[in-house]
Amino acid sequence: MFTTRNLLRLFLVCGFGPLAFFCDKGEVQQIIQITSGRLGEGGPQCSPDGHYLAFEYFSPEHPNAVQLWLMPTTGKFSDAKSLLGYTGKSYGEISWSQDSAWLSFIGGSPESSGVISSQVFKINVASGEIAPLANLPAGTSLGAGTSWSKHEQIAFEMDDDIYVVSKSGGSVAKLIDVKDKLPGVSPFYPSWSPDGARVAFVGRTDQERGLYVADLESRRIEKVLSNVADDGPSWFDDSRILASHVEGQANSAIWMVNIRDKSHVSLTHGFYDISPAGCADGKYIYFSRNADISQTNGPLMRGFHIWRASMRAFSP
Amino acid sequence: MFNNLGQNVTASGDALRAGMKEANFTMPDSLAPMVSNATAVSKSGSVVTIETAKRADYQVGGNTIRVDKTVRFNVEVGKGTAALTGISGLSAKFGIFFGFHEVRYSSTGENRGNLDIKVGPKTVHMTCSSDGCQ
Repeated sequence: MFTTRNLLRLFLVCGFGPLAFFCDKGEVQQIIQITSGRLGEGGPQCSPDGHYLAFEYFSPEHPNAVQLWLMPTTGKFSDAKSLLGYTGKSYGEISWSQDSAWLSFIGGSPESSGVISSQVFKINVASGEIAPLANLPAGTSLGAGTSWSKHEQIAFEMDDDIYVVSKSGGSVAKLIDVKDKLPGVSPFYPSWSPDGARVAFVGRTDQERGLYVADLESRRIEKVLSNVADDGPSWFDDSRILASHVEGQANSAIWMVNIRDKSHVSLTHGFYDISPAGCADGKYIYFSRNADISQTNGPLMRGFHIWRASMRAFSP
Repeated sequence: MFNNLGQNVTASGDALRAGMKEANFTMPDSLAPMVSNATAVSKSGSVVTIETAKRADYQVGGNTIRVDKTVRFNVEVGKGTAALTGISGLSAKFGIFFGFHEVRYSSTGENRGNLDIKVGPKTVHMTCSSDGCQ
């Protein structure tokens, strides 16, 4: 019977708002907004010990510049603090070290010509100490994203291939020859699997963006999903990847893709959701959501905030 | 400007820049790097391809703009309107690299018009005058 109480319950169960439950997404129990900055936040990354969430913060004063912020996963947004504030330089694309003590990131400084020279860095989350990890030539353009492996190597894209540098820095080495195996595909956002056996990345071509997985032992690269959004993937466990999937003109949903059979489950829908990241042994996922992407004036990141979805336990 | 290149032509980057200067044509700031460092430009039908020596990132007005080695787009020109559509190889960094999709300009009078730039999931609207676009 559709009593007022039942209608209210239906609205709450399938509805929208800062607290939303999804009626048809069995894997997701609850979705809540956890950041509420003055302009926008994105790129959440949960520390391996599950204690901290690092994210990219955009301020109204410098709306197009990334600042790196930290907040306790059990805290409120008022507990969040700046780790790397506005300096006029370009940085972001973070990844946690296995001991949760460092974040790798790509930083760039503009030369007088306006060309940005990028390098790979790490920053200590306790002291704020910053150390360069590579010494790349001036004018180097690094793809997008860093990823810190269980073997303490940091992966990044350069010149359409995927390279690594050790956590202590030094020379870089090519890890995956994408140019040779997938001509015309530019790899963005490399992401190590938790066991260090595979690297997922978004391959961009003139026509589309696809999710690829490279097996480091067999050297095979396989496409597992088409039509992903502008952001990067994140491993949920050794066989499943979280990725954002474009749905129509203005929506993007968080999907979980099983790399063994390429099956997928849609975890969110109806919004512009990007940059998913798993946390705390699969109990939560974090992502950036813009609940009203139709706003046309002002900075692009306005309205993006970080949301957390509680996951039901489910087997692969 | 791109529409006046002809139907099937190839030119050097220097010729493109000289032509733009002669025509007193100014690109929106966020698109300027793809021309300033071009080594060659070609047009086949309505499709324009701009080549540069290598991919590079530029700081333009506080934004990071990435220009891939090859940038391609369609040119559409109507009465008082101009558009670059189906853009590939051009993106802006807002934490993640959002791709430019299309740029549309519609004139609202002499030296005045509206500029809509579709980048990533959003369309950014700007009003243009002889002083530039805001």
